[in-house]
Amino acid sequence: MDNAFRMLDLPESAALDEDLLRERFHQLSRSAHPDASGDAASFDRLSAAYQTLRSPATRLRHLLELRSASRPDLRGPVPQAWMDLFSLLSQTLRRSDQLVRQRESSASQLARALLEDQILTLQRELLELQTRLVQLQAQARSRLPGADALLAKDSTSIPDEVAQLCREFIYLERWTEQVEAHLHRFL
Amino acid sequence: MSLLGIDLGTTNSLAGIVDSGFPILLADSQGSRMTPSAVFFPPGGGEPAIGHVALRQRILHPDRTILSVKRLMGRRGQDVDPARFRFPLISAPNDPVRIALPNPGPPGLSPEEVSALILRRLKGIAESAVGEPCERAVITVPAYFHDAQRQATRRAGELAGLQVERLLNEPTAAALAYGLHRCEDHSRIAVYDFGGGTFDISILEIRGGVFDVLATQGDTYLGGDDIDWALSRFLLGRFEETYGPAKLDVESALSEAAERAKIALSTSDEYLLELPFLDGARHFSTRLDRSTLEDLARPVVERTRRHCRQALHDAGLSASELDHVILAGGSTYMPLVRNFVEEVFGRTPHTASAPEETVALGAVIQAGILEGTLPNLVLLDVTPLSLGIETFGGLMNVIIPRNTTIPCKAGEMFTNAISNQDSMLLRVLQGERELARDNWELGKLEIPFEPGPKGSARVGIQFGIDADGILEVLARDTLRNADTVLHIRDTAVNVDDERVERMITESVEHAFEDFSERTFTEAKLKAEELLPAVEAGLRQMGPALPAAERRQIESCAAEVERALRSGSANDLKSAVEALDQATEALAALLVDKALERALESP
Repeated sequence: MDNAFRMLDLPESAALDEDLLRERFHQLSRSAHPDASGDAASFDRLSAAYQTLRSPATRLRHLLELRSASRPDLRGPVPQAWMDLFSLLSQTLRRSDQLVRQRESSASQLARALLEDQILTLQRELLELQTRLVQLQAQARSRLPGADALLAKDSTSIPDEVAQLCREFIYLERWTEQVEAHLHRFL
Repeated sequence: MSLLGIDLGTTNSLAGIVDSGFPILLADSQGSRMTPSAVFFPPGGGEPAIGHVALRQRILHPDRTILSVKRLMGRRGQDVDPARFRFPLISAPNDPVRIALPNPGPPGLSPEEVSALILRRLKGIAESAVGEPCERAVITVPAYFHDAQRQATRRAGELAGLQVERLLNEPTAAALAYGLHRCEDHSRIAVYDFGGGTFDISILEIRGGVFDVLATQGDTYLGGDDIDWALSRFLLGRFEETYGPAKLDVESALSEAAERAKIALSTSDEYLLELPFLDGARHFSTRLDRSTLEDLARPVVERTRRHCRQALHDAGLSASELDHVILAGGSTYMPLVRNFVEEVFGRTPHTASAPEETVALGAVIQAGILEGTLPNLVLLDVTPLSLGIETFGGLMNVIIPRNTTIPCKAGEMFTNAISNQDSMLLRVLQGERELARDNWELGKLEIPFEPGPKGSARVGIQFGIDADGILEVLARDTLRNADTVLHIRDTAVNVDDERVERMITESVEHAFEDFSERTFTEAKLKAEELLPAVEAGLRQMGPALPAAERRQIESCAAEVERALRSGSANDLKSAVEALDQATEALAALLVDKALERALESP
């Protein structure tokens, strides 16, 4: 497996500077792109490495992959607080679906207007969820340097805290995408 | 020998070359750079007329004048509404659409063949202008064109005697034209490309000569044609109020007039539409003001809003983080469209260059990049739709997510789900939904491998998307080292656009349903494994199991069966978990029993 960090000439770090990552990819593409002086195979690898490093979830997973011979097992316990958040999220999204269907199937202006109250409430709830997810993402991001420190201590094992952080990012990215998709329908 | 840059548009087409380091567009002998994308087949047979000459025949011979053929490229019968075309179509739901001409005429033309005539005309214009043969070209396509539409465009080029060096996405081309002299700055731009037949929105970051497409969205069946259609329906209504039902030639005169009125109303507030001697005798005259047109056009323009939002979201940017908004495509001349763009992006769009020429200029610049006459520029374009395959349980396994930089390759390893399988059927899918059946099937591939126990086969599937946005799939059985290559171009399955559109919408709108379906599918797989196991376990243990425990297990199993029938994901999941727990002791007993038997046997 390619070491994505090495390919982009960046330090192996979970707390990677993402602006620097994009800048480095642009720089390297100037010569590596097949339309410039590069060949297709090495550009494919460069661009795959870039994709891997773009989000904290895939970046962390890659860091863990680099230190385990096989695909690391990321499964693990889900804390109660996360289960609660997921169930709140599911309920809100389900209601949002119902409301959208109701709005689409109402033929009259009046019927749609009568839904407006509910829509506004739901919008507020979705926004609150979004804010909460953004906060959680920021908190998770602030733990990235800590993950780097844990990984530096021991170069072979997969610390539980890092696997947990990776899981959190996977959930957060997915949930944020869902909430934002639902918000787009109401804005 | 010059490499041409060509914008093969729905309404108009243009071609150009790089001349001493400058991209220029080439004019025909009449001095016109724009060639209408119209082909006329004369009733007496003979050579088809192309461009301005053909366009003039549309009223007299609506059924022999082919317009907007781009809207038919790579499409099947079920994707197309024949009522929207004034020439007859041969269309069966699952077959590629063909054009039927009244006799005398060729028996059935493919959209590619008609497009090839337009391309051949452009090639001819270029050759007279440069004074040498032009046999290679960069041709632009809507960014949201899928595989079949791209393949059809490439075939049209080949039929016209052009070697197609690159298919270039139209909004990206517009960005190149805008950024050619500004590419050393660091900026983020949006390109709002609203043409005759298609709409695209792309967000790009430009830095140090690199044009990086961050996100692209679009609709390949949304354009100025739809505004003309709405206006011509409106005019037809006014006509019929006075004169009663109109015939085909009146309709076609009205649609031509609608287009003229629309263009005039971009610069003036009022337009007097006069059609003397319409259908030979009657005069039709009516006054139109801009607000009437805008009321008709607004629903069409409004349909672009969602795509703009989604593109910004995919790019991870807010409108205020953009430095410029670029307009491309003739429909962006409409004040309504400009105001709309200003409202959506919160800034006045860039209007310095002619929006109907900017895509063609970009194609010429890309030709210059490929030839090396415009060095130090690199384009990082993306694929508009996610690509993946169907895996066990009917789920879509995304291998290349949308907005991934192309060219690219990505792969994943798969194994056999059933013992002694000797092949697997791979369904290649395009779309954004979690369930395979909700996505588009691009093709099927059967991969043979050595039969063996469950989980023993190793098949690596690799997807490649080339710089033209065209897909190739390679499957490798790593145990046997055998490769199977699937070329989507060979398969008869085309993706229709309305479904692509619907898929995206559904993916956004039913994201939660997908998630619960996934939960259900996973729980169902587990239930289907558990129920027969429970039966077998109970039979084996027989009276050794306490009656209370047996009853407990049986009631849990009944609950799972009930949940399976009800289809509720959460109920099934908890029922399966309960059954899993209830059978813990039974499982332990079975293991003990097995160990005992092992000790007893010699």
